[in-house]
Amino acid sequence: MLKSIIIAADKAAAMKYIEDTNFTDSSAAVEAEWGTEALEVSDHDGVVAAFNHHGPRSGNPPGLPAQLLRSLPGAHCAQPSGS
Amino acid sequence: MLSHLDLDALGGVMTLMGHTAMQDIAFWTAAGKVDVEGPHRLDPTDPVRVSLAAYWAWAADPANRAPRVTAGTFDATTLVKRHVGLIADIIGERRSGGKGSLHKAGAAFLADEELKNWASFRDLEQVGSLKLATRVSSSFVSHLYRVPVDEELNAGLLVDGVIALNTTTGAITLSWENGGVNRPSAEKVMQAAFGSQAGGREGIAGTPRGATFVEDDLEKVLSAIASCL
Repeated sequence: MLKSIIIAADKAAAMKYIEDTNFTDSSAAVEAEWGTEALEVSDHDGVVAAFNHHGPRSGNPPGLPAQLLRSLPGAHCAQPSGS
Repeated sequence: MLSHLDLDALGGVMTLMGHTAMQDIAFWTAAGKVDVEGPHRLDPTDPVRVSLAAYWAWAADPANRAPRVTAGTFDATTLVKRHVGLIADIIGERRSGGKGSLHKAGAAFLADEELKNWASFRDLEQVGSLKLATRVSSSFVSHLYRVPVDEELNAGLLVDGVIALNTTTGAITLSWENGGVNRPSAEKVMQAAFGSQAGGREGIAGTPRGATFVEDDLEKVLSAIASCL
């Protein structure tokens, strides 16, 4: 279950929020991508990153995010990928 | 953590919540297509458009819109839960096959878009192999890539680009239907037509900020496209 859903202005703001709030309780990053900067928080203990890279930049086909996220076993899985 | 709020991001949130509404594959496939290719690429006869439009109509209300976060962070938990609830209602209505208030709101939204499409359309122009629609409107119409269905010729045709004059701002915008792939850069075209202060991206660009233009200036964009081919 997602407890908090945060919109961040940019990657730096997102990282600061994570550091300030000890944002480590089965959290997930979903579509956290500002321009070409994607949030990569999978190396933070307990923070889950489920990236949603399927914009035109990624070259991924339509529908990928749903497939990608469905493949995750709940929220306890990291799926970082580059843009 | 989100960078923005749209149907695609909400689908990600709802998947992680294990929400049963994610089982509506047609809805989410269409939402993904819109995210990548734009709403104009959906089949105009696909009934899922009405369901998506029901969401767009609701989300367009300022009371339901996420604030533009330009610095720091915004706790969107409550707002996102409202969006999730609305989407669940839309999909619930789809499952029941009913045409309730949400379906009607979606249909009204699409009808309004088609009215805007008809009212703003001026001409279908051809530059080289590219087909372009010229438009004039008091609102943003650069996303309307289909010739109005009531035009005698080329009704419903998907054009390659739109050149639109916004009479409220006086700005002209060139937008490419495919985001600018294998097209002259929209920014370079607009700079060729209106000088270096014109700006934007490969797929969409506009006249210099603060400057105002008139309908006759649309021709300058067509000439600039020709010179950039």
